[in-house]
Amino acid sequence: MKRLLNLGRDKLAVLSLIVIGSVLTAGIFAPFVAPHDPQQVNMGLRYAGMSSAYWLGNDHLGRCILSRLIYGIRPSVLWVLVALLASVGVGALLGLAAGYFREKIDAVIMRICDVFLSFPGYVMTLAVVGILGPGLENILIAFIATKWAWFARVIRTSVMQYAEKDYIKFARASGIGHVRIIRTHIVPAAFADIAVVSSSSVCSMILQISGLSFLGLGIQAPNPEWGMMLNEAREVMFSKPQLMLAPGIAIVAVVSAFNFLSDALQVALDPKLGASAESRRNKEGKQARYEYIGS
Amino acid sequence: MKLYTARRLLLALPLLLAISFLTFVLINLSPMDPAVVVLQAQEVPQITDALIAQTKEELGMNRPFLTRYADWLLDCLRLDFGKSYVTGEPVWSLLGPAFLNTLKLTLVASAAIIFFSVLLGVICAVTEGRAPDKSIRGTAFLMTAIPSYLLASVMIWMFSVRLNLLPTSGMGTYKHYILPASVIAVSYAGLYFRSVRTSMLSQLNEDYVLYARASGLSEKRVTLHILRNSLQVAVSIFGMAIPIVLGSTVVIENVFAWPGLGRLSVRSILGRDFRVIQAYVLLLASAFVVFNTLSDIVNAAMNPRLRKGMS
Amino acid sequence: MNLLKGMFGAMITVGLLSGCGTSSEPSAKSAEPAARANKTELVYASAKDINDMNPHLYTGSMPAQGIVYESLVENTEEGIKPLLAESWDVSEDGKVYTFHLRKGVTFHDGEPFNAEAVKKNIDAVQSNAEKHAWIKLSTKIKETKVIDDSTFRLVLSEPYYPALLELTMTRPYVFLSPKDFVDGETKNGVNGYHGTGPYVLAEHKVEESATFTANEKYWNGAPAIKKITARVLPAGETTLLALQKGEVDFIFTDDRGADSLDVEAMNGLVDSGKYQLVRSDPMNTKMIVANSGKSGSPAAETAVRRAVWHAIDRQTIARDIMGGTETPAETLFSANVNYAASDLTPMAYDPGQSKRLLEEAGWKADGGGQIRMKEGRPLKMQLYYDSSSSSQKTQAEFIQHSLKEIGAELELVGEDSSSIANRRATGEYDLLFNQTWGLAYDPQSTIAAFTSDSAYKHTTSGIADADKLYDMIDEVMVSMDEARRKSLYADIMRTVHDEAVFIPLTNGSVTVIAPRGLQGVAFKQTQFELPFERMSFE
Repeated sequence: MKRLLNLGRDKLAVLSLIVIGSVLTAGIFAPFVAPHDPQQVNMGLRYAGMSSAYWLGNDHLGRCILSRLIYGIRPSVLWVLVALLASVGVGALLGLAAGYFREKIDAVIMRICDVFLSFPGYVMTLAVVGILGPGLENILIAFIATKWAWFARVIRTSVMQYAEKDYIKFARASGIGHVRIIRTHIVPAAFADIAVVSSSSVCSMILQISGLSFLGLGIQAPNPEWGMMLNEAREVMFSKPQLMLAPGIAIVAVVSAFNFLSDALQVALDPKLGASAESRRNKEGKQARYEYIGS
Repeated sequence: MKLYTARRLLLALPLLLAISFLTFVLINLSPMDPAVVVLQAQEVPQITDALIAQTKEELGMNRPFLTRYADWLLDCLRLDFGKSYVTGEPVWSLLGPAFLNTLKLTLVASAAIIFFSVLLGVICAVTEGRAPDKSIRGTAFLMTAIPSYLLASVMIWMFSVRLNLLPTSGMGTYKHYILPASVIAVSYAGLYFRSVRTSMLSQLNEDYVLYARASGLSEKRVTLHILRNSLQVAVSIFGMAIPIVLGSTVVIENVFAWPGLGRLSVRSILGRDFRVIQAYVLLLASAFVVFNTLSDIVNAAMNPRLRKGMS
Repeated sequence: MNLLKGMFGAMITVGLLSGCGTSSEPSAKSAEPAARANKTELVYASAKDINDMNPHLYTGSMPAQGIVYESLVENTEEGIKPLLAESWDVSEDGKVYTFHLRKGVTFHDGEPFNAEAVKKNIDAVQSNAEKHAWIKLSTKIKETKVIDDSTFRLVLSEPYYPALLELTMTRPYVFLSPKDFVDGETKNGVNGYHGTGPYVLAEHKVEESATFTANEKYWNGAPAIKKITARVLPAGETTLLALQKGEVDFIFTDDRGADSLDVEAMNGLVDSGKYQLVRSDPMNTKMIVANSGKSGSPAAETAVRRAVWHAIDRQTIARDIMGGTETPAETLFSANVNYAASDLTPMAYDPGQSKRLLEEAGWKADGGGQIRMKEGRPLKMQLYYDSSSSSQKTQAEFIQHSLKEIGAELELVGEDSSSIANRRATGEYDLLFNQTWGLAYDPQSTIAAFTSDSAYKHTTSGIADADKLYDMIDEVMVSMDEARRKSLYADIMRTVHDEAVFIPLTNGSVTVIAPRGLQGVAFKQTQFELPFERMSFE
């Protein structure tokens, strides 16, 4: 845990955290932050530019872009985080079980993981959306179904590293219960790895939702969502390119922030990756870390 | 090595079986009655309960779940995925050519990913902490944060319309591959070059490098030495990238009008053509397993240490 | 680690990239499609593949089928004209049609076009009767007879006045070389796509492109445009970029009424000097079809349908969403359609009226919720739109908001157009976007389709006087008395108008973007075909 404090020294990581934090806050308190009703159609203001009442202008139905952007945080970021938490939860539970108890439980869980990991990112999402129909809930279900196995595997790997540590062996030998060992020693230790993996999983999820919107399989109107806003703007991208700026910058900024955060976390947790020339060999675990990548 | 290959191949078989089972279960989760879907696709005007029952009988849906699964699996093994609900054509006649087109694009894109990952990774590692390293990493993070269809539109506009260098879309000459493959490469190389950089950096601190430096080898030769070791990372990236790219060309194919699996899958989903969706999922998951197995075998051949861990 | 500097540089790079992307002025370097001398080729973009070109089934692209296959007679502004039949006689009782076929016409594969071929084709269509039930003619053909090599006779079971009109349609009564038949049939697939039309299907790369070459032996003279390529371009902005570059130089409103480009983008192309924009007169009515036959759906109630009608601001849709390119439609058939009734009570945009109607029908807005309830059911419906049409999506969102104002919730579902056609046939919808079938088909075929299971049967079956409506439709089709037909049509149109099952939005037209130098860009009487054979470069 101490190593997480290294983050504080990385200005970019701090900046990323600030960006993410303020976006989340704005999303949670959207009704208080947003100046207008995001679904209020006003055809008189169709494609209106920036004004004092509508800071970011209006979209093709004259709706307030700023308000839509703020409400859009909910499906685009908040719900994605919820799905992420759910898959981390499932993955962590199974990963911990597999890594800690080893042998048969491990074998069974890992084989199930292998099966789920055999469906490349978009394929499973498309399949679930194709069967259950488009919509936010189904996309989130698809995310949980695709992501949990990655977490289970990553967490298992890191748990196995720690489970071999002497102090855990000692605790075991001295008759302390499984649950307590997991809770007091392994969970905190594995937390860092989970954080790294999660923060960059968010990126691929946000981009995937916007990709699904592009394909016409995304969240259904009229609920604002960044990917859908970007797509609506895309249809007039050569006559009114300015419409792409707001949702485009929002997506790029949040995704970059999570990207930088994930990178900074990695550096903070593994100083060898930093500028120091200190030579330490710690090969295990790193291999697995990169595998989850890929939308 | 032979033993490892055999073991790895044997491991893939139960995995493929499990995948097929999951795919079958997945499609059966559909909230729509397949009999109704079939009848709708045949544009039967009045769907009566009797007709549904009759169709169920015809489709053999009254038989036990496992029996149906076994029959379906046997058909799939003969590449007989049934007929499309929408067009009535055999599913494989739609899927086969589309798969080939997607595979071609994937191979080219994966090669581009390797090239850029290694190039950028090496530059970053060599100039670690200095301007090139920082700016490449900064750019890469931003580029990977841009939705790929946007990047694609901007690139078409730049290279195709503005500079008139490349065709906008479609499939034909080698020129048609450049833009879609680059867009894919930009998204993925931005992620993978980090592995190359990391591996290079850790190599730089390996004992043998320190020893080589200490014994007076020129810096150029040391770098070459490291590079050779880092190629291994490149190969494993390649193995990982192919199946992942294969499954995620869907957006790119729609922008570039590429007649591949991604287009087919979206069309099938919007047209509720479950047979095609099912075959698509099964095909891609199987391809994923096959490529992963192959890349593991190649990796093991290059790195004997891995083999030991396996047995 | 401090990456700030690097990120800054990157931002500038990205900014430059996107900055470049914002300017839409045409580039001098890009190819000039119109400038090439002696150009005889056209490449048109289409969101979908041409699909199955079998003219006796319904999955193929109609514009493509229209240039490959021909019918016996043609529908023009001046009425029915000869095409593959040079002349025809109709018996006194209106039951026997004798066609004198054009001599010397051959199919693309060299087979002669004669009475035998006509009979084989019509028989093949008739043997798949269920599919064609929406065309009333198919239910009335009793006998097909070869009189001699160039004389063909069609015997009907009863007189049917639109018989010739229905023979002009793009499908199914068009002619495929008998050599392409499989076991004497066409319903289970065919061996080739040889018609008699001005163009020959030369190559079809599935989901990529289709190439049509001029039929040099065309009986009406070889067309001037020697090659037409249909390129599949699913994404609107790629289509626009391909047009700017000149890889594609022709687009038109597709047969499902979907536009892939927005109005301003089209104007931009015209301003670039390379393209011309040609728009047809209003051809059809775009509308929302309500399922009166779906029990349990609010759409089955007349009051709800009328409330929806009153809640839609057609002026705004026509002016803002369609960019002024279409006119608001107040009735199912516009005044220029034959037999269009003129005494219908207009149902103007009036949300207050909508609320009153709902209130009277028992849909109450109490309980604090925004959605009205009746007997515990919320006023909630699903509206299906074509996912490849951005204007339909925008209209759907606009209507969704308008309905919310009157206390009704609309759930929007974007689907493939074939899937929407399926829903129309099977009744699995509350509301869906549709359009009337165009000048050649309105009103007779569109109205005949009210009774057809595969078309608007579900739409009309739930109205109070459905049986009476169907009787009137049956009668009007066989009536040989003009005055009687007129009054029947007026009654039919009044019934569906008052029941508000077809909620009109705008009068749609066909839009073409073509290279500036292209002459003869015109339209047929149908939105489904374009007369490519009459076009040429100056």
